[in-house]
Amino acid sequence: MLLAPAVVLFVTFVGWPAIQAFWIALHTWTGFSPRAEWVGLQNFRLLFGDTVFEQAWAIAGVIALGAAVGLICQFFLPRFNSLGLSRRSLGRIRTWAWMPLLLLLAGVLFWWLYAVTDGDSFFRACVKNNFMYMVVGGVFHFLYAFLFAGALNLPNLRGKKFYRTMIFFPSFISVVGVAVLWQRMYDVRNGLLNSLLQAISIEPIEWLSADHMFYAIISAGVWAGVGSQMILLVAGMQRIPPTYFEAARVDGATERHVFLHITLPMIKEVIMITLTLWVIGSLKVFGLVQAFAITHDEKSSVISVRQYELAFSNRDNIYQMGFATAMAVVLLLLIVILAMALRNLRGRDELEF
Amino acid sequence: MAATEQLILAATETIEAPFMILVWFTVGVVILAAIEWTRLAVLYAVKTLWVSFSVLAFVWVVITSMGTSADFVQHPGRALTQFVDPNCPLAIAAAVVALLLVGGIVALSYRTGRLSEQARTARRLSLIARIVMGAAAVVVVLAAAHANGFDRWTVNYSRAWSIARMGNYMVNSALISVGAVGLIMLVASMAAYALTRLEFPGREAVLYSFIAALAIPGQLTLVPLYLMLRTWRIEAIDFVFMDSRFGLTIIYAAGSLPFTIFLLTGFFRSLPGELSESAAIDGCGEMATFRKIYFPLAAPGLTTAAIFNFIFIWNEYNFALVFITNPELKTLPVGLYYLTVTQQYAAEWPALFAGIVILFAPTFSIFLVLQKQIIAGLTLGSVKG
Amino acid sequence: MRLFNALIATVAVILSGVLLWDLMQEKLAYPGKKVIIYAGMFGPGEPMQLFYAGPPANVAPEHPFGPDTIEYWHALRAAWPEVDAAVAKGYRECFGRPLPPPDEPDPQLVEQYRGLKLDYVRRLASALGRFDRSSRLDLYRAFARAHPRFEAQMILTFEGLHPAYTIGAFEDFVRLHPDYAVVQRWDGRWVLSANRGRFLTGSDVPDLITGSQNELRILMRENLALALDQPLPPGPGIKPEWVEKGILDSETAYDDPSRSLRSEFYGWVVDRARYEISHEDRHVSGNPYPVGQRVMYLLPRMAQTSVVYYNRVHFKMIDRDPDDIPETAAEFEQICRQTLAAGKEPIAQDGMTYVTDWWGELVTRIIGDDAYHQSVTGGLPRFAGPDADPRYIEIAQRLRRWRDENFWMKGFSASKWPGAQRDFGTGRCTFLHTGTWLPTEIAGTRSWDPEVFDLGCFFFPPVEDGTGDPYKMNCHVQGYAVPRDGDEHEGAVLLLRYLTSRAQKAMVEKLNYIPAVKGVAFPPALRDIESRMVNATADDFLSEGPQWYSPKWFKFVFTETANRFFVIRSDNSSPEEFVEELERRSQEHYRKIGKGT
Repeated sequence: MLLAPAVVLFVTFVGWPAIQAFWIALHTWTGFSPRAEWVGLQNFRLLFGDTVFEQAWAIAGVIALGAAVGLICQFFLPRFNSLGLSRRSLGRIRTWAWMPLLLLLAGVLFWWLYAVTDGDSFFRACVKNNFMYMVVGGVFHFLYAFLFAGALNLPNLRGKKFYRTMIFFPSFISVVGVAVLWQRMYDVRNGLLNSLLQAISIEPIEWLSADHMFYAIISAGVWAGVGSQMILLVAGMQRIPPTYFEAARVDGATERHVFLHITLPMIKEVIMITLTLWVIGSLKVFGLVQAFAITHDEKSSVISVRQYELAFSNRDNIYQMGFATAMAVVLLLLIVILAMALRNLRGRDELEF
Repeated sequence: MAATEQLILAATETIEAPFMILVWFTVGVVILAAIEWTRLAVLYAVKTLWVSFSVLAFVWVVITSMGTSADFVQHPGRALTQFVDPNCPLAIAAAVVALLLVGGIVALSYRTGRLSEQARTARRLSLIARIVMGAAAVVVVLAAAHANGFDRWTVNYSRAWSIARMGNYMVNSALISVGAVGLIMLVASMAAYALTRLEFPGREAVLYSFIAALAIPGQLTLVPLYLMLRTWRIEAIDFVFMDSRFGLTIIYAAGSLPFTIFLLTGFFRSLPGELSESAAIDGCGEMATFRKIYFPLAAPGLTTAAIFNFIFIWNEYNFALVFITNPELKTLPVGLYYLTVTQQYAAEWPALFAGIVILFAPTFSIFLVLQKQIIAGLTLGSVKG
Repeated sequence: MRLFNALIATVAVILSGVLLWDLMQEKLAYPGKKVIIYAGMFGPGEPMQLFYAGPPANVAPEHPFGPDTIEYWHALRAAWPEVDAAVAKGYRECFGRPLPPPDEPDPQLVEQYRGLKLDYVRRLASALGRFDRSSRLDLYRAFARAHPRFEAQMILTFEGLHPAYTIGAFEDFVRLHPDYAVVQRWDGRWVLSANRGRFLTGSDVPDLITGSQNELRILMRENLALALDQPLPPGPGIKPEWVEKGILDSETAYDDPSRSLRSEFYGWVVDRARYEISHEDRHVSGNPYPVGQRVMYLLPRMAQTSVVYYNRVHFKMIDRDPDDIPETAAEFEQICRQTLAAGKEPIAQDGMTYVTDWWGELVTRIIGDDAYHQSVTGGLPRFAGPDADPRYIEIAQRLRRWRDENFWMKGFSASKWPGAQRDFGTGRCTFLHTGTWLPTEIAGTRSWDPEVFDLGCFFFPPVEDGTGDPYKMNCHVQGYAVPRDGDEHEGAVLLLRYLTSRAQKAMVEKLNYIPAVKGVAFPPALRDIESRMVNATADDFLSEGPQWYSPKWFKFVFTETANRFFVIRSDNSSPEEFVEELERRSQEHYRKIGKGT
């Protein structure tokens, strides 16, 4: 059958290992000999801390509550409309059905990140860094993507292709190349940035010191990633029928008005797609951060880098594959939750042309 | 002649590194700003600054990679100024020719920008002409340099290529990428066709499981795959999948399946369905229908997916880092990372930068040539009707 | 139809091609020979080798264009007036002062230079005074091309390239023992990690693997390597003599069958190369030897220790006798203040790299190695709290005082290794605390101008009022291990004997490392510590430190706590906070993962 090879390939190399990961997360394994020791949930206990485990029932209850609310709003209310609500409000309740669950989950996450003190603080710092990358990087990312998309969309632009090429090119090349390039540019003595600063007689900045390193990485990530987002946005913008713009101009609207009230809503779909890609990508970010420095302390590490370091680490000769896989499982959970949250948000607004 | 020599010497001496960079930067910005002086809005300023910075960064990399590390610390621009040796007319002639060619490229791009979209042959000719001129400029300069015994420019590149094995890495990367992409195209196109055109129970389930798999991070399957590969061997020839390019190729193919199938199902859906009916009337089975009719039809979508997969796999770092440790078999990004690590000991930045340029060059060329396709593909895949 | 078939065909061809090529990598085509697989770090021609093994110390001062050979400069100018300006510029670049006016140049030298080709002379003029390896190699090759009657090979031997010796060793071995073939695998800096897959699979395991004790630790813990000084259980590839007496005692020295292999090595090196079996190793990892027994898994090749390097020029600058090394830590601090006042920066440092070694030195001198061992593994004294030794806080305060007094170089927080080495080697800083591998590593980047940089070293001095170990040295051994799952043990041991024989002393000498084998010259750059090391006994050494006996504590507790203390950060902890956090996290660590891990 036509489908067979794909399914075989997929299940063998993606599906089965993903399931096996859960199994490995329950062991301690050095990866040098086949001997692996069963430890149950201890890896997760080490990650999250005893506090979380002690409160496990409370947390489960909270999540069950949120899930129950969601289920009721999603399925039962519409079916057994005993309250006699209008269609419209039913529709509204349906779209917001899962919000309580998501908010509760977010609450649990924040509680763990900021209130709990035991457990693996390095891992907590990594998760925080991932979110920082998502939020701070995301803001700049989208800001620049919009700016450039808007700029490229304007009619009287010479050399449009050249700009598009130069802005898009960095997202096309390997993240390792970008990381190495920027790492050199940030170098205190010989880097490009400090040379420029020196030329205008400013003291060189220690870009890669412990405090600044992560922001430096985020900047490099933004530089590299803006291009692809920009292209998507431009494509979305170009799909808007020009009649809207003409009508707006006839009515005497300013550029900004046009942008905010016509362009933006029309490309909401595209924005949601790029947002989803960005959120999931920022949780998985690995190459950029890893290639930036040989070792990472807790201010500049992310989940995947920490996991790589523990599982395949060279420098410290501490090999903990089970623990690292447990981290990956947590990562998967985060991704799934966020992806579902975004899907939910996306399903809200359906715009008709 | 002595006077010019003195002048050039004085110039290279007084213009210290940072000032030289700044001078170039300012000049570049001024030129760009002058081109669009008509509409100086914030958008333009930011865009110009951004692009000039990118250009500056790349120029810095290329120029540094052509010098020695002592030069790099003291006089980064020296590599260029030393080439223009007043005593050597050949060098001056070559420099002039190169500048003319570059000017020609710029002028040609300007003119091409004015052509309409339909003038396809003219555009294509112009592109080819520009590429040829660029290559000619590079060749002219390098030939003159070599004739002068001035091999310092290319020495870093030849060292990176052979001693640091970037050449090997490039071959490995190419093999793995092409192999994996070919395999994916085969398998994914068949699967996408089956999932969109054929009716069978559980179709929805399979489709959704593929799409859900997009959320699985590579990091999750990393350790189990490592564990799995260790058990796979072919005893007869004592071959282990663990540290081999073949194993990595298969893993890449499998890993890119969800995304490619997702992309292609959208594409296949847009193809007309009557063709399969007419084919069924003619007595073709499913496989034959696919092979004869739909596969050629889907070619544009397939090429786009192929390009994306190729670039993704070529740039892929995480899996290659973990699975291949034999220095002969590494891929390009991993090779660059190891070059960076070893450069720590040596602090030979120019050699490292030569490695970076070698890394960027293939993707840059592919990008230049296939730009239209790539951008069209990106937008096609994202915004579905 | 055709398109699809074409695609299938192409894919099939490429995939099978890749598979075949990979198979050929694995196939070891040495018919009729016994194959020894050797896993090492960097092969000849690897960028690491070319850059790392800089010119031996004795070559550079003889370079014709070094600082003390002014007549060569003058002769070149006289012979080739065309490059007059470039020569003057080169000199000034190199030494920071103008070329002295020429006196009568040596006519013989001028004649020699006249015999060179102009092309080459131009190249030479543009490369004058540079000591970086790549320039010099280029120059030599350019010389060979311009003057074909010289052998390129002959010229390259000026360099004494280390790779030549490595290759040469194996080639010699194969020549002497034609029934063996040596397959060399150069697996990069982290050899064990690179071979991990092979250990896991049990196939294609190397027969010899190099590394330091720290790197090969896991092999030792899990008994994945042969114990070299213990009687071995019988098995395939194990000779009967080894079953009786173990490898080290039954094998003889390669050069002289009347000496045992053990007698080739310094006694203290053999002792340092042993690994003490811990409780966890025996009962969790399945190591067969009893707890507390010291087993040698690593046959040593070289040793290294940590010293404080200093720039003698700076001592002269503060009117101190360059041989007058500080005898106490207070004297050391005094010198730091003096050099700081003289405008230099006292201590070169790369951020967090090796900075915790200062802590280690102070702790062993003041509190003592054994007490520290107890503290780290959960016993008394503690770091903070009621059972604490108050001197821990004092040490932290002392280190913070050093930082506040600007002992560490400017911008050290963001400096990345090997920036500090280069700054030290170019005369910016007075002291650098690192291992004895330094002289070779900075050979390419240091200044050879004796007015700028002159290398000396000493062990960290005792601290007044310290009750610890005032004179003990640390020591780490690097060598070879014989994995248990290798196929060719006999050949491996033969190769081992060959590599550690005195016939190979040239290789070790060129590396400028402290040798493990008697009869090999001590590195000249380290002559300051030679007598102490060569005459050392087992008691003169410290334990290997927490990184060795409690690696998880070191990584997860100590390093993370230290990250917030040493370099300048917005969330720096104070000395008291540092010690308290260390204690708190240690307690947590013992509770969750156990003591002594």
